[in-house]
Amino acid sequence: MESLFLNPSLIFLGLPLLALPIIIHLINLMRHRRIQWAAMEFLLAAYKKSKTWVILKQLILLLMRIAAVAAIMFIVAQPMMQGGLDFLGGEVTHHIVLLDDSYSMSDVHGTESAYEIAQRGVMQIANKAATARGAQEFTLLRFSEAVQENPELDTNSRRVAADFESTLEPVLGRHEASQTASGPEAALDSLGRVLDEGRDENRIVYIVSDFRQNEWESAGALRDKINRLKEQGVQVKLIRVVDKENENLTITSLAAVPGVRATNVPIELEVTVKNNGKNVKRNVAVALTEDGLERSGVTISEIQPGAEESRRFSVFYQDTGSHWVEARLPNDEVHADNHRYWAVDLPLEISVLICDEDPEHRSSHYLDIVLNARADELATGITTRIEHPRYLSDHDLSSFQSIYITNFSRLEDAAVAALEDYVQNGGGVAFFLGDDTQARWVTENLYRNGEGLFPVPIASKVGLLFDSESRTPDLVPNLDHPVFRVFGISKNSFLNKVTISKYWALQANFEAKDDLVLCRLRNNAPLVVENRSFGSGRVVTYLMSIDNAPADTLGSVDTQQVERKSNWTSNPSFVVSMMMLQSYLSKQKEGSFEIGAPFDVDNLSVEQFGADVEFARMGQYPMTIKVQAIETTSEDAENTSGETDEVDEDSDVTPVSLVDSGQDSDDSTLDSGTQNSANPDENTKTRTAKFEETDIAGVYEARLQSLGSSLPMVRIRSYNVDPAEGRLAITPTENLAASINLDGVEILNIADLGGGSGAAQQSNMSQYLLYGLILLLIGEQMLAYWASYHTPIPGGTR
Amino acid sequence: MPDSRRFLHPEAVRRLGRMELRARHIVEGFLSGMHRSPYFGQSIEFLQHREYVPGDDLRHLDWKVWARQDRYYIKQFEEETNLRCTLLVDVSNSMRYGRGALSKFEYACTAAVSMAYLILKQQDAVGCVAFDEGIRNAIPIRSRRNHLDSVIHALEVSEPRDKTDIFRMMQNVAENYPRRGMIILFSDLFVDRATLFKGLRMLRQRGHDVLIVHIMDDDELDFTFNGPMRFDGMELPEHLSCNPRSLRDAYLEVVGDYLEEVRRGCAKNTVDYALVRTSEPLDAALAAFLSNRLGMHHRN
Repeated sequence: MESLFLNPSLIFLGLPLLALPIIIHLINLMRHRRIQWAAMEFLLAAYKKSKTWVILKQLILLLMRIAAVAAIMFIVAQPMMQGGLDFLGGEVTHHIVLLDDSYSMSDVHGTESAYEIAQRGVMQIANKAATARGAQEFTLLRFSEAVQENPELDTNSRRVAADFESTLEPVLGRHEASQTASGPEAALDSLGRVLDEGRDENRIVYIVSDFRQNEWESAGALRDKINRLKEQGVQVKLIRVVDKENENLTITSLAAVPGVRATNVPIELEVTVKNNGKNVKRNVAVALTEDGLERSGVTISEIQPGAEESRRFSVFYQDTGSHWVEARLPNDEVHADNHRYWAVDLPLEISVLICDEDPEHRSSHYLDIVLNARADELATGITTRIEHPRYLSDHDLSSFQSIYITNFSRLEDAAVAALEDYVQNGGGVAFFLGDDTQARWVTENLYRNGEGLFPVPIASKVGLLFDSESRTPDLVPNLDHPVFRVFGISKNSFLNKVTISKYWALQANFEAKDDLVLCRLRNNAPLVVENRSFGSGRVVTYLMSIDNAPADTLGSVDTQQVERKSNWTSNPSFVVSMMMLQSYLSKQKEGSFEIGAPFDVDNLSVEQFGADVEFARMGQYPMTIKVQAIETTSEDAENTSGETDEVDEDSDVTPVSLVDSGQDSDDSTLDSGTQNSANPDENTKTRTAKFEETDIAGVYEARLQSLGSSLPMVRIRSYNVDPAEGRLAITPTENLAASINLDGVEILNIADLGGGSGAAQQSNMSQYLLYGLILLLIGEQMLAYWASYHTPIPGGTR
Repeated sequence: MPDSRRFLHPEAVRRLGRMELRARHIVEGFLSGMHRSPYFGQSIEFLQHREYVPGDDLRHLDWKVWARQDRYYIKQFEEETNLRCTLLVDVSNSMRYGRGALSKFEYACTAAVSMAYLILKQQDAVGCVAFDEGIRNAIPIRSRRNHLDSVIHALEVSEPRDKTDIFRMMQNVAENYPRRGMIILFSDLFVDRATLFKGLRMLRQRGHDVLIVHIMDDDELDFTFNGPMRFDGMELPEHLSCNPRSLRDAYLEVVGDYLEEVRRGCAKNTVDYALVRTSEPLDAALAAFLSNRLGMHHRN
């Protein structure tokens, strides 16, 4: 508590005045009236009786008069006190600051980023709290921290003292705008978890943010949350950090075009850039890096405001293992969305299972030819395995990228269960019906009223009537679907030459949804149908046979066409279509992760991998850190799932967390060819490690210490920012008020918070002293009356 | 000739003239007058009947009542005697105090002279003693009409001074006035209470009927001073500088205790007592006192 006077010289000038009451008291004693008194005996007795009280009252009165003079002197000198009368206690006011540190806050305005402006605002809030009346507490929570399971508050109910500025400054300085897109909802949600609801205090919640439109324009959920706070008596203030928006380009996507991803196969990537500004951007150069090495980039000639433009480029890798690509825009006001990463773990080849009941493989033959091209110059990166459908019943299917089932009559129950399990776990299955397919069995066991693998119930095999007058080709594909999209781009006329004479009709009362139909016949009957509602995998069903055998004569008029059920397998479009189908069915494992998601590495067999796991980040901010995996059995994992353990402090490793080793690994590309890895014994010892510091975009590698090889085994992931945060359009105050639609929510600009140094924030205590003086004088008068120093009521005495 | 009118306010004398001075106890005296004898016997004025009890003098039996009602009743009469009254006036220094029309001394002298005038007018005898530490002036008891001048003179020449030694004075009075009579003491009684009561007891043992007119000033009773004051003792050497209002409550308590002690002491010694303020009208104070005396006599 620091104090000073505005007019300190008056204190010294006024000090002699303190003696004034004493002097007056002495003078009064000297100027008394003398009187000859007869009843002296009684007077002396009375004096003796009340001597103590009389002297005490006189002394108190004298002190009060001195205090009154001192108070007047202080009022004139105007004492200033930092923190006012906080030391007296009173009701606590809790300032809770929710600080937006999403990457849109890195938007630079002049020389400062929005986040730095927000930091200044937070300091101003703290300074105002430090000079406010009553006890003040301060809690700071960043948006990016609020999304954590157990958020840590930067300051938790910290009592605001006069020197709080020096406490808060280093806390704020430890952080800068994150690369997350964390919004206010999570921060408001976490308030209930981090604050003690039972405390009796006045709460003011400040949301310090840039209030971008993508979060605040239609803030229904936010309105509800803020409304709940209001109902709890919490005062809510929205502090706007910036009032104008900058131009910004964002790489919204960098992904591989569907296709086979294997070595020696060209992989086509597509980079998409969005213009989040208000002006047309021309000649936008996107720099590219392959495995850390610069390569030729792409240039987008023009991007309209608010529009996206994509460009494709190919990468080609001869080596198996992890590879990554970085796309990079020139620096603008927001850096985080100028980088985007793509990573892939390339196997030498991928395995595809083809099941065919026909020992002569008349159906699977065409698929095998298409998928497993042997010529080096036509490498597809795919190896095929043709088996009887019984193979499905008693073999692990997880090693196959996709499964094709052709020309089947019915499947064993175990095969159906295995297929369903395979699709549940992300596998892709394509069905090609055969002449002997039992429609009733399929409907009852594969369709199962919509709960099975099959997308539609089938009725029977029917013929497609030949119509020489019709100019409509037999196949009418959905060109928006990835499997057939290529025909729309290249205007391939081969597809128009495909003829279909036999197909399987759906049950009469069943109508397939349009978005699930990939291709129809010219009579509008569905030919290729998809089931997207079964697990995370994909199921595509061709309601036709591809065995290329002569069809029966039913319904066929043209003698040349009658000989075959379809000529599609002889048509070049079949090759393209099947390759697209294979890409579509393949497990999509190179997907981009959003930053912040933990990098789990589990199910590491202790026989194959050592304990040390090195996590490395590549890209704009490279780093390497070594962690030690925890060894556990499957039983231990069940008992300790979710617990956190510290590793040896002496080792140069970071703590890792136990995770359930029984979970399926999503890094199955590494397990290619190891068919038993998914079914370890119950007491099999495995290692597991988790890396949680993935809050910066980049390519992350987990380098596993392989015991059988000098080279580490690598698992790779790309982590990217949420491109939506790159939209910098701010919500105008009137729209913000409308979207919040709440009375009493204060919306302030950062400038409205005011500022000033600690000295200027001191409270003038003159007012308090004036109140004290009034009380003192009232008390003095009462005491003086009690001590009989006042003239009594006229008429009562002489 | 001394200014006798100074102590004889005509209004007071006039009002006292309408009152009868009736002593509570009749002292020795033979002269007929208005005063009742301490003994019941034949007299002019019938007082009352009472039932005969064995031992009563048969001369006082009312035969007429016996004849009519066949009951024995004794006739009782008031016997008039001569009154020998001694006025004791305190002329100590404390009696000088008074901020009103009259000081305590002036008030006491006025009251005493009025009383003497009344007594002499009733053909009774009166004497006067002015005293402080000792007897300053003593006027013997006489019933002559011009004896009033002697009383007035004795008081006039007695300028207040010195302390009061009331026991010594009472001892002298008892010795010098051996015949029973009425003694009226005019004083502020700023004396030692033990000696006062001792003296009163002694007078009563000698058969005197004692009346005390306790004269006090309003200031002494109410203590209504304001502002810083220094009190110098008139009979005591001490002085006190104080804010009198701060001591008022305690003072009033002490004075109250004192008055109560005096009242109790007087009552204990069957001494009539009246507290008179110097601000009260003189005749009213005397009338109230005499009325009180009469009432007490009738109760006897």
